Amino acid sequence: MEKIRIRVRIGGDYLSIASLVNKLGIYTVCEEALCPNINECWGSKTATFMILGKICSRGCRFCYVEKGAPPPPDPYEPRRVLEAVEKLGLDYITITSVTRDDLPDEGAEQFYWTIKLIKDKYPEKLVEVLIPDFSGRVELISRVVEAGPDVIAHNIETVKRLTPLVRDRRAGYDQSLRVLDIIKRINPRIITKSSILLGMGEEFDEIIDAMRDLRRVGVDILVLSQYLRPSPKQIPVHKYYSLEEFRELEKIGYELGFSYVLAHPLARTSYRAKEAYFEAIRRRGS
Amino acid sequence: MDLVAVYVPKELWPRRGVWSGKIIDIKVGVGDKVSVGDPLVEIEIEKAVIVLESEYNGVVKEIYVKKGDIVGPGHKLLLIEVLK
Repeated sequence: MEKIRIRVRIGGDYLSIASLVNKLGIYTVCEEALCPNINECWGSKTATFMILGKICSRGCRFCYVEKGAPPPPDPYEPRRVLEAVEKLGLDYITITSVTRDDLPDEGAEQFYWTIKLIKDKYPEKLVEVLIPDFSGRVELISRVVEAGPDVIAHNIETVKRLTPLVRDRRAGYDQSLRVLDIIKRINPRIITKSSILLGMGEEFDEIIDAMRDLRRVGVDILVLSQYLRPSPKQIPVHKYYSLEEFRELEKIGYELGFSYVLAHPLARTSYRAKEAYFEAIRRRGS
Repeated sequence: MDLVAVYVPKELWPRRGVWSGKIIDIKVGVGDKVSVGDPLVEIEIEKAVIVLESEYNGVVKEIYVKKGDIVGPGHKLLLIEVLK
């Protein structure tokens, strides 16, 4: 199995992002998840902020983000994210978080204020959030929707059969579908998005079933990407998918009715998010 | 004459700088001319193969590593004479 090659040349805007996020003390999923696209994204002056700290309360077996007992959330974090948005001049902002089962509100309030500070000051800026499952609690999901993000992503991550083997025991396939369903029921105008990581041992038919399930709850944007093992501590790669296989799945995705399908080995939920959003809006409208 | 050393970039995943990898290919030799964007060294990490590109137009003056070496952020790889 041939590993994916990523080209790296550090310079220019890359270094300005590195310096800014470090100075402001904002975490990025680009670093924390060892994202293979960091060079491309930071080099084109875009980053995905990771709020609620850098330690996740869950232990999904594909993920490189640090696991453990997280410290209390920083009340100034939303303000610092706003400052980063302003300093970088971002017009499309992507924000994600670790999962915070330890907090009574599971971090929903931090999402609310991070989105709201940006939207109140800059209503024209577009905000995309990739949220945890909030244990499927409607009141917490509603709080995030209430803040007015343009896109809400929540990842199903894998097919139904592999979910208990791959994701933390507190996560669930049906629970994630429910989260996506709740978002659409609260506000059908919000674009929803979900990702499936391929290469963890799923069968082709199981991928199609997962795609169907995502469409059934009204997901607009589908992201299909190759699982890459970050370190020997995570589960091994079972299969590397070819570009042809990604193209085939992309075609099936459109046939199933997704407004936009991003299918590529290096695609990630926030990868080229602005383009995906505008394509989804355009196709949904046509 | 401007000589610059090329390192495994510490700025790649800057706050998770504990990764390491194996040199699986060196794409240049001493005396070779390189341009910005040319591949210099391939480093295999668990997740992928990093193809480190040249940030300079210049000539390779020295190579400090060989295939099979284990390197991490900050490891010195090459010396390049930068051509203006």
